[in-house]
Amino acid sequence: MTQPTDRADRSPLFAGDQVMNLREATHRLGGDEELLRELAEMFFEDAEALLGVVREGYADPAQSQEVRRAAHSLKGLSSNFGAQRTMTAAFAVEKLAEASRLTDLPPAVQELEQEVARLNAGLREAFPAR
Amino acid sequence: MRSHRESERRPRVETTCAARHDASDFRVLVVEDNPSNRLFLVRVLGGGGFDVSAAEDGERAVALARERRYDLILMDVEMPNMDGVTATSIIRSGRPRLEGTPPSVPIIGISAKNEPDDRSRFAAAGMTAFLPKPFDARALRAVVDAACRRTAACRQREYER
Repeated sequence: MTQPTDRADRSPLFAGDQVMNLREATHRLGGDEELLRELAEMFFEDAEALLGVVREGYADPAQSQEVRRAAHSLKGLSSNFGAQRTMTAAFAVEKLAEASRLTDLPPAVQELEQEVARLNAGLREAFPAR
Repeated sequence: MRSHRESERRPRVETTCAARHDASDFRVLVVEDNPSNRLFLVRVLGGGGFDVSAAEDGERAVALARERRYDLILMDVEMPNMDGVTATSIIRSGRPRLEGTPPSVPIIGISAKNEPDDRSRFAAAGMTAFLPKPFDARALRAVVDAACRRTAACRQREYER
C-alpha cells in the first residue's frame, strides 16, 4: 500500500480504491446534483434493510434466492456513487449465494458489511441531513 | 428554474428531439425493478422533456402497454415476477391484444449482461436495440433522442401521405 501524497489521494472521494467517486457519479447523472442527493437518501433508506436480508439469510440454503437478490440490489444501489469496493463485495456475495457456497459466504458477507458501512459513512459526510 | 438553465447548456445531441419535435408527445415506458435505477431513468428522461412512465417488472409493463400508447420501451432484463425478455416476447406477439401500444413498438433492452449469447437472446425476443449497463445520462438521452427522431420522421411521413 503506497502512502498518500496529497489531500486528494486521502479523500475517499478520489482514492484509487474507490470507496466512492462522487465526481464521476455526478457526471454520469448529467450534472444533476439534486438527483445524486436523492439517490443517496435512497441508499440511507434501503441499504441497511438489504444488508439485513443478507445477514439473516446467508447461512440458510433455503434463502439463497433472497440473499442473491438483496446482494444484487445492493450492487445496483451502490453503483450510483461509483462505489467500486461495495459493488465488488456485493457481486461476490451474489455469486456465492447463487452457487449456494455456504462455507465461502461468511467472509464475503463480512467484507460486504464493512464496505457498506464505509460507503454509508462517506455518503453521510457528503450529504448531511437537511 | 435550475433544470431549465441546465437544459440550455446541454450539448446539441441531447436536445435535438425536444427542440425540433414535441418530446412531450413522445411516450417512454421505463421498465426497471431497481428503485434507484428507475429514479435515474425517469429523472433523466423527464428532464429531457419526454413523457415518462415507469413499471417495476415485466408483468406491469405488459399491463401498461395494453392500456396506453407508448412510443418507446426501455426494458431491463433481470426482474422478478416477469423478466424483460418474456415481457418483450409478449408485447411483440400482440397477444392478448394490446389496445394501446402497437406490437411493433421499439424496445431497447438494458442489461449488464453483454455477451454475444445474451445479445442474440435479447434480439430473438424482439428487442430492437441494446444499451449495456452501466450507462450515463448522455448515452441514455442519445439513444432515446434517436428513437424519438425516427418516430417523428415516421409521423411526418404518415401526415404527408
